[in-house]
Order: sequence, then C-alpha cells, then structure tokens
Amino acid sequence: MSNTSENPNPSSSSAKMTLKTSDNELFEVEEAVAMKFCTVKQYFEDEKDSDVAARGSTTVIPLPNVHSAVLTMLISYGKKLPQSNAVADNHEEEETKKKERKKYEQGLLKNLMPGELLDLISAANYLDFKEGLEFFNQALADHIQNKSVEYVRKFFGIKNDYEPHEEEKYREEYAWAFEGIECWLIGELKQFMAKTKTLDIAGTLLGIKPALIVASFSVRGLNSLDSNILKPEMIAPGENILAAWINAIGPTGLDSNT
Amino acid sequence: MDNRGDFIQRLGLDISINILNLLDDPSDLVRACAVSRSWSRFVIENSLCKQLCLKLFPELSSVTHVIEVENLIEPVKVSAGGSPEWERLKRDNRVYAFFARGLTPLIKKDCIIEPISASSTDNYPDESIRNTLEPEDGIEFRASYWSSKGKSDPNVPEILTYKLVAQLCVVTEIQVQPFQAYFQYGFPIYSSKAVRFRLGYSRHPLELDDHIREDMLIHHRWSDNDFIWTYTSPEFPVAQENELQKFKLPEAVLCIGGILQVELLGRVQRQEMDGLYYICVSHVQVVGRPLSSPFDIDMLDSSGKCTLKYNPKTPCCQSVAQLLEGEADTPSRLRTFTTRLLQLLGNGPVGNNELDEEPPVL
Repeated sequence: MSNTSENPNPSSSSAKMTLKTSDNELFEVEEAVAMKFCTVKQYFEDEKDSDVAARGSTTVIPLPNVHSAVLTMLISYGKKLPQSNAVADNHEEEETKKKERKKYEQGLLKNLMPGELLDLISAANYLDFKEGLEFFNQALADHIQNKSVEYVRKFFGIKNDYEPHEEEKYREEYAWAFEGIECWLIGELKQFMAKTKTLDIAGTLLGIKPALIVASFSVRGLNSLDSNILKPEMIAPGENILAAWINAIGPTGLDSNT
Repeated sequence: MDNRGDFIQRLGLDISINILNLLDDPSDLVRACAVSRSWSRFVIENSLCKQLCLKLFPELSSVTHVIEVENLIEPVKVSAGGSPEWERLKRDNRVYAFFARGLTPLIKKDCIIEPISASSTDNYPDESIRNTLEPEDGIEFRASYWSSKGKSDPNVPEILTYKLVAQLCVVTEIQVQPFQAYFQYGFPIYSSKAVRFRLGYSRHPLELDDHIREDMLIHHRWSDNDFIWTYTSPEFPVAQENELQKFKLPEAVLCIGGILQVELLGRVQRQEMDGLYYICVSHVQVVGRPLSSPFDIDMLDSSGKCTLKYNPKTPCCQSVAQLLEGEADTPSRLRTFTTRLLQLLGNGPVGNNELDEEPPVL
C-alpha cells in the first residue's frame, strides 16, 4: 500500500526502517525485524527499484491500518523470533531459549483482552506477518479448543440468540460433544487436588565428610581374583529404602518391611 | 454483549476459517455451533466439519459421495418452504461431525466380529470357518483353518460370509491367508486362484436361533434376496503362498450394514488322498475404521439408508458425581457447575493457563 506522495528518498542499506502508524507515531525498526512484515518488505523493495538515491535519510513507510499499541506488540514479538541467520546452538542453549520464549509468549498473552487479540490478528494479516499471524491465530483458537460454550460466549462477547428449548435440543442431539468438556475440567481440577511427592535426585556429591558407613552385611576386603581391587567395587544404599507400593497394603503385609 | 470480540464478524472469511481449522476435535466445532446462530451458520456453510473429518481421515474422500450425493446417511427430507441446500449442508455437518468423532482414530486390523456362514465345510467343527478368525496356523496342537468340501471340478467357488464389528465401517483392505497343510506330504497350499469381496447389508435383520446359526456355519448358500451388496471389488489374484496376502481396495469403501462376503474363485490344489480339489483358508482379516461404540447406526429400511445415533454410557459423569458433593447426572447440573467454576476462576484476560495460578476451592 504505497503512498507515493509521501515518499522521500529511499536508502539502499540502512539498518533501520521507520514505520508510521495510523495514529501518526513513528517506529524505528531494525531491518531484520521489519522484513518479517512482508507488506513492508514489498513496499521497501518497490521503493528500491526507483531511481532516486539518497544518503542518510530513511524511508518512512506508512501503515494506516495499524495502531501504535498493536505495532509495538508485533515488533516485540518479531524481535523474539529466532533469527534465520543465527548460529545453531547446542542442545542445552536451545532448551533454555525455548523455555524463555515460552515464558515470553505466555506473558504476552496473559493480559490480552479479546478485542486486542483481534486487532493483533487483523494487523498481522495486513502486514503479512506470517509467524505473528500463526501465533495469534493459535492463541485465539486456544480459547475455543476444549472450552465450554459459556466460556466462548463470555470471552468473545457473543450474545446467545438461541431459544432455550432449541439449545437444549441441540445439546441432546450432540451429547457427545458436551460431555467431554466437563470431564476435561474435572481432569484439570484433579491435578490440583491430587497430592504428589517428588523425589529430587541430587546426583554425585564429592567430599562429603564424614563418609557414609558401609552396612555390616556388605562384603569388604580384597577381590579374590585381583588383590589390587578392594571390595566393594560398587555400592548403593541398602538400608531404610523407600520404594513404591499400593496404598492398601505394604509389600509383605507386615508393619515394617525389608 | 456487544460482540466486540466476535472474530467471525471482524476478521473476515479466510482468517476465520483458518482459525477454526486449527481445532482438532470435532467436539470443538459442534460446541462452536451452539454459541450462536451466526457461528452455527458459519461452521455449516463453510463445511468445516467435513474439512476436519477429511483432515483426520484422508481416505474418506472416496466416501463423501455416499453421504452427500447418494443421501444414504441421515437422508434429507425437505420440508415445505425449507431450503434443500441448507438442509443438505446441515445434514453433512452432522454426519461429518459424528464420523470425525465416532470412527476409530487408529486403523483397526480386526474388523470382523464373527462368521456368519460358509458355503461348505469339511470336517465340521475341526475345520470350521471360525478358525479363520484365529491368526495362528495352529492352536495348541491342532491346526486352525477352514476347509471347503472337495470337488472334482476346480471351477466351483466357495463363499465365506462374515459380520463386521460395527454396522458402519470404512474398509480399506482385506487380508487372506491360504492354508498350507504342513501335515501332508509335499506341504500343499490349498489357496484359491482368485478372490473377490462384497460389502453390504442384510435385507432382513439377521436374527437366527442357535440351531440355524450352526447350520449356516457348516453349509449354506444364500439366495440373491438375502443380502444387498453395495460394493463388489475387482478380482484379485491369489498367490499360492502360505502368507497373509493383502488385498487393498482401490478406494476406501463405506460399508453400511456391516456384512462382508469373501468369494474364493477357482481351485488349484488337489488332495492326494482322494484326488479332489479343496480350498482352505487359515486367516481372514479386515482392515479399516469402524464406527466405535457408543456410536452406532439404525438401518431405516431395506433401502440401505441409515441414521446415526449415540448411546452415552456416562462413565465420565460418574467422576463428576464423585468430585462434587451432590449428584451431577443431569446435563443442566453440569452446566451450572461449569459456570460456577468459570466465575471462580475469573474471566477476561487471554492468558492460556488460567488454571495455572489459582487452584480453585470447591
């Protein structure tokens, strides 16, 4: 959507681009991020083709359909995307980055009102920002997936225009679609209500003083084949072991077990 | 309610369709239809349930004409003053939603539930058609196979008739293993020359008392009137090999009525002892997607039309009753429970795991 009357001289290799929103705010954006908005990319490439060369001035690309609040979010999301030219990380770095991104995404969506989400989708579509569109589309779909009809109506602000008897009939006809939702909610609740214990495995610890005592029934002394090896070659806890058993009865049925 | 968040109105056709296509569960689309009339119209007019069904089960593309054109499932009756196009779309929506939910998500390899009849049997019950449902060649110390009676004319065919595990089943492949007589000199394999399959339904309900049932297993020739075959496969050549041979149907076939017939054409192996030709089958297997309970169909009449039905068994609802203090066995109770829960958890912000931070206290 180019507006030639407003077009100052394009530059060939600036690292930043200026975007102007519907409420006349100017945003300076790194080219790498701005290029993810394919509409902007197209505009930029169209401008590059024209003959006018300039030094030190940047093109201001108008986005009359995008409000500044929305663009802020889209730019912020675009920045957090993995860069295509980034060096491949090792597995651990990748995992940390993934977790960070997840956390960032959750934070982004957390206080978003439905109307704002629609604005974001609309803008991402206008800008042809594929990753953003995919992300926010999924965020919206998540508010329908596995959610009850009441939730969907409330969240999207939809008025129920069915007569009660019509709705009742529909729910009976498709009973299978309405049963699951309550069960899913129960499942989520059960997770909170369940009591769980976790064992934290600390790993290998060196330099513990005093050293743990070897049980009296463990073998010690010289290895019979090679007297350079002292027993025990390998050792593991053997007393006061906590193991799993069903609630009803312990493994032996006695008050205490080996 | 000002419909401020109604994305279907605000975002336009393409994006809205893309969003709704992200839903994997047909229950989500069905519930979307219950949100409001405009949402229902959107889902139905854009055939979203059909798109989801074909996404889940691509092989169903060969079956859509049975639903839409042949009008065999949930046949549409146009009321006076109603729009036939709309009625058809509504019907398609219902059928595809039921299919998406009711067909088994994983392809099943054992879609036969029981044998109905064999055209002839040698040494019943040792060589009964029942044995073809056992995948093993031998059970304990006894060989497990069905054998026809011997014939001097190798062109006499045999027919095995089976009942499928559901009255509605999408069949993709049928597998047959001929029997190798490992106890006979030379280890002969009593395959047939070729095999052909028919799928269809019974004209009258197949309710037979035990006496008749057993007779049919041994030796029965069906009259043309008993079954209506909606599908006849091409002839597949059978290799004379002791292997489970796979006969993939050219297209997935929808069997309404749940009856399969295996036609064994042409005999190849003579038994040395009596010089007669026999056909023996070790195993028959049907691969496909049945409509799994609690989903089922009701055959309407002998025209082959049927309607879909759902018989809930409510194991889920029992856990609801345990968790709540009262009984929650009526649907409206479950709804009030849901609304109460949503009120407890609060609503409005978009964050995904709103259950994350506030464990509800009930």
